[in-house]
Amino acid sequence: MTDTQDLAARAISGDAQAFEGLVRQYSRLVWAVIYGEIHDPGWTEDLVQETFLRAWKSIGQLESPSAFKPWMLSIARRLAFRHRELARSTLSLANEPVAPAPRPLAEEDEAPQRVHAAIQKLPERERLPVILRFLNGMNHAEISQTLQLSNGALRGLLNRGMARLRRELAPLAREGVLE
Amino acid sequence: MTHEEFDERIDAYLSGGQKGSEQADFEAHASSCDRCAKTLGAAREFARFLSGAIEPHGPPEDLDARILGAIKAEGFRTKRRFKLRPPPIPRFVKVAAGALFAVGVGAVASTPVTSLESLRAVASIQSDSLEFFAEAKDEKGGRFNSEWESTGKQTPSRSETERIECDDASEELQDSPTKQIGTLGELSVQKRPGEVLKTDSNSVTLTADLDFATLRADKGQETKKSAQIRAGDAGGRKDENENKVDPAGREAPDNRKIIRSGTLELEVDSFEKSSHAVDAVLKDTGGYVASSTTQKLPNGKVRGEITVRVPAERFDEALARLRELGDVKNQSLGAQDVTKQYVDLESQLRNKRTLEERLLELLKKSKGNVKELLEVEKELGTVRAAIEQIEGEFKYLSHRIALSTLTLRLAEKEIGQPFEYLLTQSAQVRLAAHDVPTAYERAQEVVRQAGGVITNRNLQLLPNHAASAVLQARLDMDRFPQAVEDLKKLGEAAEASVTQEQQSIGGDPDKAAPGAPVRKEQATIHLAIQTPPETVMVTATLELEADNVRTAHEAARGIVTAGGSAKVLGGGLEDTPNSLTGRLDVTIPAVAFPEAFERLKNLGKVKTTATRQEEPTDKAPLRRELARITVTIRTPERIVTEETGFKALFTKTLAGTVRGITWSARMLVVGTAYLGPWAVLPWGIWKLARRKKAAAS
Repeated sequence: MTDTQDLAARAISGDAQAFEGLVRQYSRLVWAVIYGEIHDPGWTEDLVQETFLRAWKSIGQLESPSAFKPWMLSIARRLAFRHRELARSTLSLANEPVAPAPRPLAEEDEAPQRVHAAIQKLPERERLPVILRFLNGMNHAEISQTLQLSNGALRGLLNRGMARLRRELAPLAREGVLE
Repeated sequence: MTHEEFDERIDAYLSGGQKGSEQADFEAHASSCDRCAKTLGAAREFARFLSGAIEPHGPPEDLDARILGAIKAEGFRTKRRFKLRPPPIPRFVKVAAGALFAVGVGAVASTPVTSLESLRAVASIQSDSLEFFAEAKDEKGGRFNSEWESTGKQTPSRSETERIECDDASEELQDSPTKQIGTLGELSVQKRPGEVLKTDSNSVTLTADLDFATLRADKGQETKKSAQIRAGDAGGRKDENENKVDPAGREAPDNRKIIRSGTLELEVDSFEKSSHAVDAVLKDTGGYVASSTTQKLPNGKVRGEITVRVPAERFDEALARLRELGDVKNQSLGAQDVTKQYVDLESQLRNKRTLEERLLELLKKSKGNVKELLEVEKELGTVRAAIEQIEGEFKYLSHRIALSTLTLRLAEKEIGQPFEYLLTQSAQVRLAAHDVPTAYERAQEVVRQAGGVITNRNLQLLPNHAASAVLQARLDMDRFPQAVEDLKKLGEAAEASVTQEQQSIGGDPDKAAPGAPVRKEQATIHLAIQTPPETVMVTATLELEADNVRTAHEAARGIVTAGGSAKVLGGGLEDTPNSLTGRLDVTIPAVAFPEAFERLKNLGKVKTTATRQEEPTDKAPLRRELARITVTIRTPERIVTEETGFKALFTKTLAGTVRGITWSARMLVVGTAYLGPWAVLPWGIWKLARRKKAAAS
């Protein structure tokens, strides 16, 4: 039984200290998963809190400590998807200004959006290492620890993800108009 | 290490995932292999681009602390684990028949209630009290939203807890004979015939003879502890009655829920300074940056968009301060009233939570069998899922209400100023030359000598000694005018135009700043050389008589085609019974015309001749002049003269004699042929008569 599983087992039996350990272990990962879906730092933080809050509330129902990580990530994804749905449907009106929208400056500043879109298109296995590296500023060892991947497995995923991004974004990177 | 292995390790290396000997191997390969060094450079460049593009929106440093804080605020509650216990729970609470529970509905109506659109109630009976939660809406959409706990007048005999939920329209309640108006597990509440719903100005009473109780909801019962009105259409309903009917004697607070948002477009001196100023404003007002993008334009100006979230109550303050950062170009503010959604969610949430509590109580206290417990557990799961969802929406909404969103678009002043001009020149030259291939060769020579590059060329030879050539080239602008002049000398220029265009790069040309540098691009030349057009300058017609038309016609063809540049348009021999006519329609170069025409005249007897000089119809500077000749050759007409003299008389007479003899002979033959048979007949008769005479004598 690994340390994490040990922590999960203790948290299931109601050990708040152990749950704190799990939070420290997984918060960046949950952050990356949610950010990968919604791209809004403010909301991401909110939803990360919400994820752990929910996880703590119903961790007692969990049967196996090894199920903790996938279970927690499924909570995170569900929250992120629901947020996206909500933001799209019910409240989209709130974002629209009453006055006619001001004319955007000369040309649309689309580079960051395109980068985000390209990242979002990656399969999640490849997306997480990229987000952890570039948004969380983690190094290889930290990423492999967070994702619980072997060094070699992570190397493969990172390589594939970056190759895809390079293909996708090569023209944009060449333009180099970006600061 | 192979190239493939190297490529596979690049990203690991860049993120610090290559250690010790691996790293040494990797670096050694990179320094020894040109190709891999390049790949590594590109990958490093791309990584830099990527981190620049997505800006480190990473999680805050104290993320863990914040999460733990949030959990602690909720309380590290002891988890509730429910153990299945063997004792059975009652299927529903049995209360003495006819027992009446007066249940207060906190109907704080500003207008008399005449009918209800919906009634939603959650009631629970506990050992010594009855808890009731109800929410009713009148048909105008006015809402009663009450929460209270009351002590029942009659104490239930059992200590179990149950819950009834009804949710239906009163019209339906009254009309349909049997209507299921709420369920929980196996407990159902039904309206039966005879049960009525009464409403008047101060009470809502549903008298239903239920299995275990009659539920009546009255307004203004002393059992009510608190009540509050929340009107969805607050504006219309905030009338003079409001204060009067508020049971607690409080003014109804303004509970309107508004989501505010806005866009502010500013022109600032320096984006960076403004961005710091924005941070300062946010720090003071408790807001934060939700996202920001910046873009540096080619002219060195920066613009960007910062989306900030500010606590709603300080939105106006923040807006006022942000407006001071620069010249406001545009501002739009929006507000969306979400009171109704908010209140809906809030009451749904409360309903479900009450339900959850009840179910928990039920589980704790019950001694039901396993099957029933499982069903309650199942129900509990459904309720919790519902709560989770409502909570999510509620939280989202609350967040949006609590924090206003402001989108700041910042652009530095004179953002439209071009940073340089691009000067482009191009020439279009069309030449006419008799010898196209030579001109084409020389044009290439001109371009090469001017240091230009030929980008496209093509020579096409056409029938009839015509040709056309195309040449495209680029060359430096300072040698461009001379080259164009040189090219023009290669033939007659039909068209030669030079265009110059100045294009502003990186901004609005109208806002041109004086002194912006002008960059000269290589000039382009489009040259087309063609054989000049053919024009008929002389038309000539010639009519000849010749004894031998065939020979003369052949000879005429020989004369015109001698130079090899004749074009035969038509002609041929025409044979009629009395004459033979030869025609020839041909164009030849005008220069060859006089000589050829003279030679044609000698072929026979000239009957008519006409030569006309034509005026050119086009304005071509150079043309190929042609002459068109139409030749007609005929046999001469026979004109016979009268012959005289003795010889002629003799000949004529002799001829007459011969004709007479011939005629007589012909007649003789004809006469014999006709008369012969008739001569035989008298001879026969005579012969017969002599024979009779001889016999008689």
